Amino acid sequence: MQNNNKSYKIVIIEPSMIISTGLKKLIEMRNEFEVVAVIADCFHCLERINHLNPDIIIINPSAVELKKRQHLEELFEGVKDTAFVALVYQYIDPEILKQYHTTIDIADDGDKIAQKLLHSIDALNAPADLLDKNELSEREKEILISLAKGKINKEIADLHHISVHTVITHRKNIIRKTGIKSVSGLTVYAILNNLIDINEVE
Amino acid sequence: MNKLGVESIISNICGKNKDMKSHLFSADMKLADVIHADYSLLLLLHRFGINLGFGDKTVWECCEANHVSCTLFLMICNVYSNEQYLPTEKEIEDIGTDVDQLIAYLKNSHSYYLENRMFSIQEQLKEISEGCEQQHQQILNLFFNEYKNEVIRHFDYEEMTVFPYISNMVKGARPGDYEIGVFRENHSNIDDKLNDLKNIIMKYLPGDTLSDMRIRVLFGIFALEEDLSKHSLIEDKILVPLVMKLEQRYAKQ
Repeated sequence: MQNNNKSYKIVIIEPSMIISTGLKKLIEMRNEFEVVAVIADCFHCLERINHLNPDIIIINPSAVELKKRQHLEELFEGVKDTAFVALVYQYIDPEILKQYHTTIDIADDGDKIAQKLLHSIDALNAPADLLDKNELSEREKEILISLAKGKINKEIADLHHISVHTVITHRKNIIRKTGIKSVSGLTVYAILNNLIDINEVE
Repeated sequence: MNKLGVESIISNICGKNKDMKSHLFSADMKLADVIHADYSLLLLLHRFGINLGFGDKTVWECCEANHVSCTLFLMICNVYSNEQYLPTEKEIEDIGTDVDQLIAYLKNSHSYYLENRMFSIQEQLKEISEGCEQQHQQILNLFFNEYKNEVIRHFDYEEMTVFPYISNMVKGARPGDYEIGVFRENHSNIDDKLNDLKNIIMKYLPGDTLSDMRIRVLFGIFALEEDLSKHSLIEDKILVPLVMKLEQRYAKQ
């Protein structure tokens, strides 16, 4: 592997060997990722995980003890700068999923998984405080205003001097925080909150 | 016990894996009992052309009297009432040329959504926003119109392209180059904006006037959303597989 191609270290925590083996195989088809450990549960392996210092931890939330599921950050307080990705194939409380940077669904294909993993890294590096606050950050408000004015991702990226990737991450956070998905819904939100004037909408 | 075991117990307690067969409606139940068991099924009667005043008739008798396919009627009732239920491939195939009735049902649903549900949501929305700032009023109306147009386009495509294609095929006309696979691939979801509207009214609309009206409109939106999700489930999981079977059958002839 070339040096300028950083490969991300990944730990998988998944009780089913069938699933973890398949996932590992899919992930390792892409050379930007390296699975450094596959663990069935995270009760006895925290120290080892800390030591491995992974970039991404993929966790099946049901592999985390019920009481600790709500407190992911506490559980993994030893690791720094790590993106958390939930692997989901049964119903998981959305409140619990909010703690993760992104979610992999059992039906996702290799490309989609790779895309989501890269996004999780982006989300980790994005200035937005992802893990708790529901209020929009100043940056997110600026992006929201651009969106409401009908601008597309590329235009927003140029306008704010950020990458399209980062715009997408901001958009995801805005959607998550407001609970509003459609651009026209976000426009309504922006006007109701007096962020823009109706005349500025195309 | 392993973790997955605990999960399945929890979901059992929450009723997500209810024993399904024992909850399904059957042809020899009285229609009145069916409605007592789940009053949301009242919505289906009109769409099938079944009127109230059916006394103690069974589901089968009511269907006979109104020339409705009892298999189809029960299937739709069960889809509406049971989260987990989907008919088997065999049951779907048995609908056969009664697909016409399914199409009529879907069309009736469309006009009910537009003329009845969405109309009243829009009226209530206007009433609520009358107390709001001019701009707010304007943008809400704009938003709802945009949503309504999206829904109309969605229904129009089905009624002008998909349904005629199916009816023609059943009548024996050689279909053109359309096939139901096209519909399956492109059947878009139309619930994003509706969901947005819920949050807008519930979380963001300023002011506290007409709060009972606000709640009423929210009830209306939630109910419409639920109804629409069953509606697309019926299109995706019953209509599409049925038409695929019919396509195979007619291709052989």
